[in-house]
Amino acid sequence: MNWLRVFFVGGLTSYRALFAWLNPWVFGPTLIIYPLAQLVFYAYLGRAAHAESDTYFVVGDAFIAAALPAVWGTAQGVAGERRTQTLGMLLSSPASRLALFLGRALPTIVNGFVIAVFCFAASTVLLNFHPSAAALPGLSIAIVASTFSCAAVGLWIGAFGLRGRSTTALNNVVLVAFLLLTGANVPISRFPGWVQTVSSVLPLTHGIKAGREILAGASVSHTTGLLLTELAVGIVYTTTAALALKLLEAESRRTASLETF
Amino acid sequence: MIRLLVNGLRIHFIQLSRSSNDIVAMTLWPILYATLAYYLFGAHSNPRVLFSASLGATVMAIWGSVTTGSSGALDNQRRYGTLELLVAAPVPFMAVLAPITIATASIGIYALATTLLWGWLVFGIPVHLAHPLLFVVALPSAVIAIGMLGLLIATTIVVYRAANFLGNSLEYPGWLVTGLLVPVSVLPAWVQPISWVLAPTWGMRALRHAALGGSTLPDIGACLAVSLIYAGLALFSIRGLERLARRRATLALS
Amino acid sequence: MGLRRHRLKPARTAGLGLSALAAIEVESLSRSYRSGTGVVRRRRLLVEAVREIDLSIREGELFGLLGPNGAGKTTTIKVLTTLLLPSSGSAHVLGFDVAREAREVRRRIGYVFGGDRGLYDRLSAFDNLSYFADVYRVPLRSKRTRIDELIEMVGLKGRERERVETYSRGMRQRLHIARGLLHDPPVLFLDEPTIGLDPVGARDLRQTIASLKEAGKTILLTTHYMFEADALCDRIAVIAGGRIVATGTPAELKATVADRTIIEIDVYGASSALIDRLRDVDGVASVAVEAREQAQVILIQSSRGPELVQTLMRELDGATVGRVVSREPTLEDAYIELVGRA
Repeated sequence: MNWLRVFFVGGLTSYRALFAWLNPWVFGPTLIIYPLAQLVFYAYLGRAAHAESDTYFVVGDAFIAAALPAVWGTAQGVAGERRTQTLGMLLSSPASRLALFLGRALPTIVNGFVIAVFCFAASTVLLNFHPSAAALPGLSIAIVASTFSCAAVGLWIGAFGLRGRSTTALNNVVLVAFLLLTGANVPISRFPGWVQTVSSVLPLTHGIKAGREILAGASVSHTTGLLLTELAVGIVYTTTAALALKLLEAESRRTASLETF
Repeated sequence: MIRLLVNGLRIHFIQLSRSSNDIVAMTLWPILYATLAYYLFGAHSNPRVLFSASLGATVMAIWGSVTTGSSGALDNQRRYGTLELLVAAPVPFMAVLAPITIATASIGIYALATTLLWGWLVFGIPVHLAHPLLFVVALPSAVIAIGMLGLLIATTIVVYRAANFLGNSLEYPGWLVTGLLVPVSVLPAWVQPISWVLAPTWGMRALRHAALGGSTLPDIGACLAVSLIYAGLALFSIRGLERLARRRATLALS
Repeated sequence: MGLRRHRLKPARTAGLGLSALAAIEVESLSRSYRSGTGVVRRRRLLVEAVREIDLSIREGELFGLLGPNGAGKTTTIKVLTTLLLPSSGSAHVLGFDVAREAREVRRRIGYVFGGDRGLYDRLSAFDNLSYFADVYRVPLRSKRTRIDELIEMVGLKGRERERVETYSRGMRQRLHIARGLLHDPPVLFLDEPTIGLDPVGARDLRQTIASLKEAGKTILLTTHYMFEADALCDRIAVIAGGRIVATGTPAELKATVADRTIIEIDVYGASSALIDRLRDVDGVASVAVEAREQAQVILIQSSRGPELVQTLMRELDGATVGRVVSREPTLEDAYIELVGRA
């Protein structure tokens, strides 16, 4: 079945190419030191500001640490497809499209999951973080859902990058938005109303909230609403990004901008 | 030599100012840090605390710029193709490299302007300096001190394979340990001595005291002292660097 | 900016009416690299890039260093510009040891390489030159006039305030040369300066190089354009596999193959067996094959004259043959012969 092949082989190959990090010198700092340092920084900032508990920041920043590779990975995946000129071909059928996206997203989701687990584990030692075992399954679901919707954001960045623009500025804006507006480090309630509205349509916002509630003792069924919202956000981003890509492809055929596809 | 240092700083400052990536880093990120601090420390907080947070955000941006810029300094020059030309020059390599790393710190002026403007426009934080003249001295002292630490980073980190990534990892730890937004008193006791040898600690204190009141001169003195220490240490690493490049040829110059 | 002291050694070879003093003296120079291969099991290999080469370049001479890629040209230049230390042997520029008196050497040399790197793109040509003038210690008094002079000389007047990123490749190369001349060095090292330039730009650059020689500068030029070396250089050294295989004037080098006739044959689909057969033909000194689009061009060097063609045609019977030319040898043929021997 073609789409299965696209899903697994395509996904894994691009993932391997992107993360050709057999070199521990790159792997270590980027996937281990940096996310952990970020987490510890915000936890201490929270302590200094007498803002929230350590748990609050651990969840927020672990989710971000898990989500970022998903964003970059999918964005790079789109760029990679464009390089090998298979993008147009892969966007031809809905099944292919879905398989393409999921194929790209899955390895990054797994990657993100591992990072999150590592961050949680380290936090139990470094900070005041003591999760109950019962919370772990629910937490895992929340991580997966959030990483998925962040991968969808990566699709959008990838689409943007197809226009030949440098995506660095956009990457920065996305990261800033995650750190500031998703409730990862600042309670959304402190923001003015319109900012809160923006937060609610961002990925991570609902997933993080669900994660915190689960750790506070809520059951998974209780948080289903939040988890489904997170997934929905992801699906909306995915479909709109796929549409955008389709439009870009049509435009490139019309204007003969072969560069794009 | 003085001419080279001053003119070199000017040239590299312009080169960085025209880089959109660096300008984004000097405007967007300080806004993030300042906004975070404002909301975390609460709207009812003392305006002094908030102003201090704005300064903290500035020095955070400078540190970020210096860690990435310096760990990548040799790499960047290699990419431009200018590294060979600079090494083959009849001046000490430190005189060529120091302006480059100090320049990465000096674009912090954009961060300062951005945070003060943002704080004033969006959150109504007034810009009021207790010792304006000392502030004008404190700022370049801080920039030079952090830039010299960048020089030390640039010359030592280059022996590591993925120097760039290692440099990026210094960002958050640096912010924490030097008490830019998080007071060092909140951290474990063993962190304190480490903060004393790092330039941002003294740069931050100098700026804070000059802006909010307090004895600034000792802090400015400390900035100069650490700058000299870094320069001395950098001499050793540069010698090692030259050995790698010229003798063993393991450090590519082009 | 004149030179205060200037230790020169007498050149070892007699002159062509040039100064007898050696500006660049290389004795038994060797440079090797240790490189590792593989990720899991790292094997350490010793690569000898340059093996015991000798060069003696006189003041005011335009000397060419010719060789295929990987022959050791770039390594030699890097040793002479003090970017690399010799593994063994010695090199002196204007009497100063490149290993121990690097700073003295650096003040007196200019280093120019081809391509469009080596400049700060976001700055103007003027700023670039201003910066490098400080780096190369041009005295403050003469800095401004020197920059203006050089901008005029390389034909960038009027565009010196624009950012380098807007420049064409030829303009960048000219700016690069200007940069190399800022401190008025008596010795210049030009590493493939015309590479990637359009024919007009390249020709202009060659004229500039020739005029620099007229001005009395000592120039060491590396190139793999034969006609360039032939036209510009007083003497040439051919380097292959890290060793100098021949040194002499272009005329002397051509003389090594002067008694040869070069026969060029266009063949379509020649097998290697066929080529071997040609090699075995009596009187054939060497056979080289160049692939061109549909055909191959077989270059045969022979001490016999055009009468060999008939013998060759007999050997080629059965293959599809196009054009057959018999001609005098050029410097390129000498080069192929010398490099092939190494």
